[in-house]
Amino acid sequence: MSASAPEPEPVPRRARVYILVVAGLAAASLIGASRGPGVAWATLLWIVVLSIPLWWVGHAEVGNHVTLSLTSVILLAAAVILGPLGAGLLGLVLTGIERNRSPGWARLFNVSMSATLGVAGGVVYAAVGGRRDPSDLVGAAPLLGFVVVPLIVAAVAQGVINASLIAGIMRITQGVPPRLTAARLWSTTGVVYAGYGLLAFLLLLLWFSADLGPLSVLLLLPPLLGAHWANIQGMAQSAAWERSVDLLVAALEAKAPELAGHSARVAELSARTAEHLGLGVTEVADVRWAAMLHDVEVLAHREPAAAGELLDGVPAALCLRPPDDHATVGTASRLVEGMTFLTSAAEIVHEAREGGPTMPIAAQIVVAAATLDQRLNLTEQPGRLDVVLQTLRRDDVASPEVLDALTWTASRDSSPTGVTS
Amino acid sequence: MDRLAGQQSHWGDVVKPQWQSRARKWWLEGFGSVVVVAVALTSGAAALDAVRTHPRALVPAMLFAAFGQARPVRLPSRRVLAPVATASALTLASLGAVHGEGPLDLPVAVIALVIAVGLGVGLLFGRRTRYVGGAFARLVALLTVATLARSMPIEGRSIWQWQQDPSVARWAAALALLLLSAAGLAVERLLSAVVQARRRHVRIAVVLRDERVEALPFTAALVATPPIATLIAPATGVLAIPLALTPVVLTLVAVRRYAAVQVTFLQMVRAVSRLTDTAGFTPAAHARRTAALVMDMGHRLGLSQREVRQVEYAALLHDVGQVTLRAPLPGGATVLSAPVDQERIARRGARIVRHGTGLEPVADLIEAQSRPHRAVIEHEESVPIGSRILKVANAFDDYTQGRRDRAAVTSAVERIHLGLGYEYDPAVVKALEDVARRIVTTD
Repeated sequence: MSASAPEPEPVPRRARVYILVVAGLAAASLIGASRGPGVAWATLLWIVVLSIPLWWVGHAEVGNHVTLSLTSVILLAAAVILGPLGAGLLGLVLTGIERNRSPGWARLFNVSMSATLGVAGGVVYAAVGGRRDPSDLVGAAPLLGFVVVPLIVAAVAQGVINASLIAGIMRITQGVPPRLTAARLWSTTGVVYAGYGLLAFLLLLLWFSADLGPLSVLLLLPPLLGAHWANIQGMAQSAAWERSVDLLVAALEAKAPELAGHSARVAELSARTAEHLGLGVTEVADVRWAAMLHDVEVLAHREPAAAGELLDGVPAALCLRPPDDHATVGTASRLVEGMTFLTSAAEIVHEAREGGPTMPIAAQIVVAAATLDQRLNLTEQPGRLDVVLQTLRRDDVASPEVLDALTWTASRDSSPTGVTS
Repeated sequence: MDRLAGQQSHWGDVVKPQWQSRARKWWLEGFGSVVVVAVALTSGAAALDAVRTHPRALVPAMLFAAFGQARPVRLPSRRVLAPVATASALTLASLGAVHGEGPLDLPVAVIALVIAVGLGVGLLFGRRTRYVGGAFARLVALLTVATLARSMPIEGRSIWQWQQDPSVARWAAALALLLLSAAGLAVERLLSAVVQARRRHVRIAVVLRDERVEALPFTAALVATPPIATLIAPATGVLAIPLALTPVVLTLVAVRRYAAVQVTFLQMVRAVSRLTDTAGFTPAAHARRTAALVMDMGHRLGLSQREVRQVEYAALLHDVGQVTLRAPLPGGATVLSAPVDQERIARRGARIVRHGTGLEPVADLIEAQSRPHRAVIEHEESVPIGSRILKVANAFDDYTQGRRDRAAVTSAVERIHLGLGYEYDPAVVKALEDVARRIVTTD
């Protein structure tokens, strides 16, 4: 996994320090590994050359700027083929020449992390009794004991280090609790990593047992590309959902142009606030959808007009009005009927519309974020952030806990990260 | 003139006897059944002996074939693939030396029978009897690989014997096995495409084109499976089969996701298409009826599956621009509104749809839906065929107001005929007439 920044943004000082520490860790790992077995440079070069197609296809984004690269398979197998130093150097090179380049600091982070993972994989594999050259192993039991189990332990070690380093950068740059990052990484990449482990084992079997050497990379390349396609398609599911919500929001903003950008801003703010409050991955997603759709009832708004008259114009921003129009209240559920992933979001919108002291925390977040954005961006005289936040407390828009989280989130710059795994 | 009634008298002339039509559809299944029965009668005893001698290799291969056949994947192009079954079949046809088993020196008929039993069990347990044609295509692919491997000579030996010689360069053995596997896959794809083309009433080239992108990941994973299993089997033993199937299973998971994404996205588009219904701007289910019409018309006009899907999405979303109106059009029918208003609604709808990533081609179709056919004839403008289909289908549903009785359908077609060549593309209107005739007769 690694990180990638979608657009260059100033990197916070704390993040730069953190990345430098990770880079130091990588350097120390490589220096330490250099005291062990040497590197088969020709083999290293072969692997780099044969990995070019993997480099060419780039990586698949798994959300929150975290991406998954096929080179993980090669890196895991390299822990056996090349040893700790070779695997570390391979990680350095493969991530350094990565096609989907991240901005400077993110790239330094990714390169350092890959080098560390390579060294760690090699060290752990050897430490638990893994054989560097398993070509003379025949039969299931020896292969299991001397290759598969050590390889699994090495993969787990790489996964833990990887998740820890990414959780650290996410905590610093986005304020996302490490627990949440770890859960998200596990849910999005856990199965894929298990598959990658099996593919790495296959690569080793072809390399040593079938005596194909570096050409085993070529034979495994088509299935590897198939697996890569797997990742991309898995991620496409959420993209498909986003596309449909984008359509709803686009329709909404076409009807009420003054709301342009409002839904997206509220969604971003709500999601980050929910993350800061420690809500689970699914709850955060529901809050995001609910925030995107909190004004969707505007779509059902009609005004009387002469028959056949094509009237245009901007209706009053209904989101700013209390739900006095009983014909439109509750239409959110009807409008998103058939979109099963939005059922919870529609409930949150409904609860937010109803208001009241027993409003659930998800609805409170949406109400608070929407009101904040409305007072900052949708009024003729936008207020200052600190002043508006005070008015939210004064008006009892949400519980103090939610408003504290909102204040923390709104006061921070958005994240500059772009990490890969 | 009742155009529909007038044409109905010609329908009988082109309808072939039912038995002939069935024979054309099910020829592969019929031929395959005869071959399997013949092989079972001649090699059944040998196959039983082989299973008793090599149970650890043959039984797992049979079970994987059964499992793969019972759990096929349906691609968005409607093509059904059973990659695990195909991979198991081709792998068993290639396997040579297996640690703990010795060489799998089995006659081609025995290998085919073992896999045929697996495929048959899969068909029965998966209740997928309509996929029998695909299973036979798989069997023919296995026969191709097994026969080539055991009959094509290299350096005086069959490929099967040659690749087991440790003195042969491993890269050369891998290449030969890859080529064998590719040949088997090509046969399977071609046979399946022939079956599909017959069933869908389209050309074989259209089927192959439709599945080119969707089946590519499977092809990539499948082509490597037999060589990988064959090369690692001397070290891993029978574990080679499940290990080599790993990439196929990973790809299968991916393709299932891909298919699910397509289905999910269609549901999303359908849900968005209901916006105008829910908000009271269009008659209930207008978009869905129009989508059903354009799909039928698109198939009749020879559009590819991908193009048909785009027109379907465009039909579902073609009125979404109406949500920007303050008040609904009379009856929600754009066909009855002024051309300038039709154009504005189309433009706004397209602008909304463009926000959906990947929906740009759909937005283009929506934007051009209001263009009259004379723009193509007189001004040589490029109006996509999808837009022309959408225009005709939308007009038809607007005129019929969702009714499908003969009077409504005939009246709508006649009104559309008034604009033939000027407003509507005659070829598209012809396709509508074909579809409308079927709708009337079935409803």
